[in-house]
Amino acid sequence: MIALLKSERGSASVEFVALALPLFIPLIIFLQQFAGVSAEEDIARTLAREGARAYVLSADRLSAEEDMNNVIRVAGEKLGLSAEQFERMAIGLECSNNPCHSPNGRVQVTIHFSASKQIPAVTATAQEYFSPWS
Amino acid sequence: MELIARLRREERGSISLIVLTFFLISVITSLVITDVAAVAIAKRSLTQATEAAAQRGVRNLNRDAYYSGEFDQSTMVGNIFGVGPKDPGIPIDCSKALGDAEGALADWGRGPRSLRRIELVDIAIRDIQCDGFGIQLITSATAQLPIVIPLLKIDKVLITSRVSTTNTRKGGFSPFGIRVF
Repeated sequence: MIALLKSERGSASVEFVALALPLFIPLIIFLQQFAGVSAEEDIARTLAREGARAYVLSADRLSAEEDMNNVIRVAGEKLGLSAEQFERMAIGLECSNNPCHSPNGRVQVTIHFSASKQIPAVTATAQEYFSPWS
Repeated sequence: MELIARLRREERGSISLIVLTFFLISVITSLVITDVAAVAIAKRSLTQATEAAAQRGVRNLNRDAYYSGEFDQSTMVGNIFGVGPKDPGIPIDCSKALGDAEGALADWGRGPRSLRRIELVDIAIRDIQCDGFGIQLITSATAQLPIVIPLLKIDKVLITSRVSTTNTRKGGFSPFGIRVF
């Protein structure tokens, strides 16, 4: 037993585990969270922008919202959103004029991903203007 | 003397030294990556705002230029057979375009927090060029770094964005400005 205690074999492994794990695990968790939030915000910003573009370029007020939702759905699929992310996603629409689809009117589209177990909530908004000829 | 010689021979603690060195390198790399990613997203946000502002500006039609020139039966026949005068493009009113682009960017700056990245400050139009058919908008902003790295001592980065845009004529049939299809 004494010989075992005096022996230094395996001490390097113990040292590595005792020191490396407490140091590196928080760092890895931080990086993973940061990457997740950045990726989700990037997607939210792109979807908001493309949704707003689709809305202002739509032919009329009846098809505008449907066009926007379709563009956001297709773009989301192209950007690799999972079914769980689609479930967490909410689309907001705010117009400066009433009716919304009016010349020179401003539209703000907001994409909100509610918080998941790993990633906090993310919100991004984009704004666009209707053509004077719309 | 003997103690120094013994310490030199001793290998205990060498792993700690390696682990701590790697940890320090990893932390500094992570901080740099965090800052780079924040600047990249801020740049994207600025580019989207610049695009929206440029598109807002370019929609100002120069009616005088648009309705100038002659259109008669011979040009109409030529157009039907695809040999009419070449489309010169859609002329835009530069002064109105510049005003609208500036207004759109100012509007964006006053908008909700989710509209732009929190790092972006001092957003300004650096240059606007208009050639009568399209505009080019160059904007700049200061991106505050989320983490200031002690060794580098950089706390902000200047980012710019350049967008050009023109109008296109919508296809279809619109006699006397009334869209039929």
